[in-house]
Amino acid sequence: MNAEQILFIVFGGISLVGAVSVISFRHPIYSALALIVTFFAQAGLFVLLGAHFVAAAQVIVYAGAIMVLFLFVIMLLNLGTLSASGSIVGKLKGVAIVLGLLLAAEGIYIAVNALNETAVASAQPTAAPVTTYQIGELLFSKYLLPFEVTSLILLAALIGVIVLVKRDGPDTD
Amino acid sequence: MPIEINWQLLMPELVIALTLIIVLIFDMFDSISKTILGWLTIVGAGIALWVSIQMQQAGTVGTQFNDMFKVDSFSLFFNIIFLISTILVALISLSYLGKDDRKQGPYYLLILLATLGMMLMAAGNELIVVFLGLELMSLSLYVLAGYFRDNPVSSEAGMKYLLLGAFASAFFLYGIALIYGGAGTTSIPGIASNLTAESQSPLLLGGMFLLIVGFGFKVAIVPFHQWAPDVYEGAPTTIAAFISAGPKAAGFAAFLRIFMEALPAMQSQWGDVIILLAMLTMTVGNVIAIAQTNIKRMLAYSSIAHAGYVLIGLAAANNEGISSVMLYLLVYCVMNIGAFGAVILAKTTDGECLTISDYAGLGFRKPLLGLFMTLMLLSLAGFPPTAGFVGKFYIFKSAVQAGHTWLVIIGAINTAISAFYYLRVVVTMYMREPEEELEFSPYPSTLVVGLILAVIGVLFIGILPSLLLNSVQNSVL
Repeated sequence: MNAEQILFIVFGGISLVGAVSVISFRHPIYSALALIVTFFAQAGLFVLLGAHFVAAAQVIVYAGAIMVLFLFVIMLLNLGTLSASGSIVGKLKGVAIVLGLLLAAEGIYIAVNALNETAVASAQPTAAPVTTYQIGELLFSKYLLPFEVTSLILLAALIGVIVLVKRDGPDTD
Repeated sequence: MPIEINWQLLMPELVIALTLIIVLIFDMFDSISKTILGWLTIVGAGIALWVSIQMQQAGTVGTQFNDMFKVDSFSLFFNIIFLISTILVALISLSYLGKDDRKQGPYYLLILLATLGMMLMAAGNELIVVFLGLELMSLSLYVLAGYFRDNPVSSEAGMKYLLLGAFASAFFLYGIALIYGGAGTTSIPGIASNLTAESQSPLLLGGMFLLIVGFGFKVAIVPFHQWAPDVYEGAPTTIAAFISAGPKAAGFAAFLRIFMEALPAMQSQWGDVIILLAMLTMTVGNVIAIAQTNIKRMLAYSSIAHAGYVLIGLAAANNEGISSVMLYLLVYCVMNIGAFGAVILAKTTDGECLTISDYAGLGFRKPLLGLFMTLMLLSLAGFPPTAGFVGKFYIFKSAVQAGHTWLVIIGAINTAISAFYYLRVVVTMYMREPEEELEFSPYPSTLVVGLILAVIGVLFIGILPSLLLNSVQNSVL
């Protein structure tokens, strides 16, 4: 067993434990924190696959920005401990089990198929791992226009937020 | 690897981007009167319009950024439509926004950003660019729809538009993802060449239908139109005019580009869907418009019906169809902004006249307003010698040539239905006595100038369509 396999088991294990914790904690803050652990472990898995950029994006976007948003919402709504029986979660338990089984079946189907020789051959990464350097080069050459337009979209969003939330009383500044 | 950029091809977009930056900088200084920002917008859009017309006349063609951005007569013609809409909307906004300095800057910035998004949609030769243009346009419009945030109706309009628009964008993006899965590329010419080579997968079919749903939301085609009346009613009237004009044209531009250039091999699948949607959109839009008492809601349903007429041209899917759609969209933008402008002109001291019964007797008491409104409504209904007639005529002609006679008959019946509710406003203005005396504000001169330009446009295209028609026929994909 080489280092890569050991790391895979470690990260995979942490992400599984984290995912189970997300749904087993009663307090939403604990669930959100467990979700961060899962995201970090998944970022580790992406690094093992050679997708460094995706790993970094996973940490920055999911573990960073989106989780902060989750925590804000939880704190703003002031959610206490959820009881499984009274809330909507309890009522939808049947639906959740069916959907979960469906997802599990899908995963098993893909895993079994991937064990076939042909599937393995096509799933093997043929080229060297895509580095952040290569992605950066693509962004500034082939995908220059979409990259620049994205900055305009951010500008529009920025102006929009200021317009919609800025207080405009007579003497606020 | 350095990339070659031909700046001349990007001139209209660059001019708008530059105007954007100038407006942004001018907005920072408190010492400058903010009413200048509106004029800057008009001048910038005017220069971009002039450049676009020059390029269109010269027949400039070329691609930029690794084929992602395509300048051709088609995209330049749509640029002309967008810029004319932007100039007209900016003109009717100058007086509408009032004297509040804090309201001016972001308003024109967002209008310019939306315009830039529309131009990218028309010139996008890559689904990613089309999507980014769509998002740039939509994000700006969500904010503009809720711009008067002290007014709960306006906030509600912005919120509704944002929620439904976000869903539509998600559908659109999912459609792009599926098409990428089926065709192996997001480049529009690339999809076309991959499609002919291999059989059509269910992935492509699913992606195509999701694209139709996404576009359907953005241009308000019937099963996806519910947002339009609420948003038009709640949004500031100038923005209702803007949303109903340029973005709709941009949606159809990208619709035409993607379906005629990337997916022509699947026409047997999407052709019938478009015909069905055209029938539904025209009929539902026109029939519900009859029941409206609020003029902004009536114009909203009328704009839904007009999207149905445009779909007739799309269903024809021939060169005549494309050129008639382009001509119709230009005509539609001018006359619809004109109609909303006339609504703004009918301003009393308490606010706008929004109920149709408020217009009783206006035709004689306010002759100029009566004249503007009558001309715009006649054009929307499609009476000669207005531009609306020319637009409808060429749309119907292209459909007959393509063999969709039944579609044209339904379109003609719908035109008759629409004449009822447009003429009802005219009849109310000239033949009914007002129930109560309303105090009207004086006409703002910039608004009158904007309306006069719209009237000139409507009559000019209506009387001398041949001048424009040559240019349109040379601009097909």
